Amino acid sequence: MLCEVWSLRHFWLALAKHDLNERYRRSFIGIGWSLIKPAGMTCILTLVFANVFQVPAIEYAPFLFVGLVAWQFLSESIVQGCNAFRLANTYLRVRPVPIGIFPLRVVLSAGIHALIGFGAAIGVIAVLHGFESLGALWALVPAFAILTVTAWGLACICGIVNTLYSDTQQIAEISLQALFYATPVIYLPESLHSSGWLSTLVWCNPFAAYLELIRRPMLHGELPSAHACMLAVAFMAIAATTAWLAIRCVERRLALWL
Amino acid sequence: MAQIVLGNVDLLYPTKVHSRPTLKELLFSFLGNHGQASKMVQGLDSVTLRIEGGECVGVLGRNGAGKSTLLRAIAGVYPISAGSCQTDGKIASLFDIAAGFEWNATGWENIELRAYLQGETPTTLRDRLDAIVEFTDLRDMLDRPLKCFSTGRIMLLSFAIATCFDTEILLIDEFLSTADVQVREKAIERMLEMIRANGIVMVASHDLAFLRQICNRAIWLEQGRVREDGPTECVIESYLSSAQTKKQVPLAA
Repeated sequence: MLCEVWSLRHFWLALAKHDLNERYRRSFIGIGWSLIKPAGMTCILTLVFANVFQVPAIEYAPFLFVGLVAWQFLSESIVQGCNAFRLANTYLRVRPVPIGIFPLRVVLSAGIHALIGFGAAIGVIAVLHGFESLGALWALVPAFAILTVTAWGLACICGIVNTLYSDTQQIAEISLQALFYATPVIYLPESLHSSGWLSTLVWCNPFAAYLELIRRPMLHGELPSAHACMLAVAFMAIAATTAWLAIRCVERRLALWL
Repeated sequence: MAQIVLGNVDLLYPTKVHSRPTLKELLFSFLGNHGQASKMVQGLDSVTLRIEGGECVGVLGRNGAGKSTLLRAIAGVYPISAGSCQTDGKIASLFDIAAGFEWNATGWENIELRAYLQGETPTTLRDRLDAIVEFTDLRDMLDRPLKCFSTGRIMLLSFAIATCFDTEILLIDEFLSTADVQVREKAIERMLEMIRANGIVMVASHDLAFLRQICNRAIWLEQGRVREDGPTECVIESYLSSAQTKKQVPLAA
């Protein structure tokens, strides 16, 4: 399957480029919105939560910004992924193609926004604090790869389920809302009571592990913990395997359902 | 050489848009109300065919006879339920004018998208881009979004992309029925070139004059089965006389 996906790389890259052009058509700021949106959100939330958590704004703002960018990447991939195959109807009627390329189109588009955000975060952190260990920054490469593969897997699963049951997107949106509060995007993991149920939930939450994979090297110049790495890789493996099995199961019949 | 071989092909498809129940139906089924079950329809029934390079095959039959289903099964878009379907040669399909296009993208972007969808690369596209533009004669239009194009021009663009990359098997479903004389002449000339180069052209159409003009063989489908297969003129004659007989039966009764 991956060989077929790779052989059609020019097609899905062109689709992702088209999606980005389409999204910012006639916009004055264009793709700059991918930075302005989380930056604006960070400013507003920092005003409130830096006070609530009693942390200096200069430390809290980068923590929040990186978390918001990573969260937006995952949630956008999942929500947009729900409609990946419905939007692909026009192409699936022309010739048989590996259906995994359509969720990949969505993930690529969201991933480009995330890369812009992470790039800007690295720049800002370098100016504000400097990096203690540049070596740890290399850990961001596998971290982003793990995040992308997971997002692709989840987008495939949600796309297939939504093709069968069109209520899926609404359910995914509500579930993501709940998951947002179970993931330390806004709050600091250290602010939780170590014996509380929320702390346990965060400990087993793979989305929290993904945030650590990105935050730890970027904000502290350290490698992520072994627990976060194992949890993230395990969840990526589950998502990718489930997506692969689901694709194998429906690939030939999908054109009949659309 | 291009070839299409179908052996006892059956194709079943669900009558409902989705072959599975919706979440609402699932919920009601748990509560005891099973609702209407999804029925399967026989799109193709034991279809056996062998088409060799150099043949231009017309597919005719009434609405719902299985013409489009046959072409989509050969293209691999629809999965066959039983039998075997083997094709040898590079396939391009023209099933639907909107298929494979983005309406807000420009003509150039759509050429890229459609060519890459067919498995081409930037290098192979660069080699054929001039040929595509020359065939369509739309150079001045290609900077505009596709939604500004007339139906005939979209058709021409689609036809040019489908046939400019050494296509060996061309599958056309009622595609040229609304084309003007010039577009049709251009398309016919291109199809005849393909046949002379030992390619295969399959055209599903209700336009019998068009089929007479270009096809050297015709297949008459009825309820998913091959009712007759042979020289175009003979098959069209049988098809017309059958239609005539059916028309007279109620009158006689």
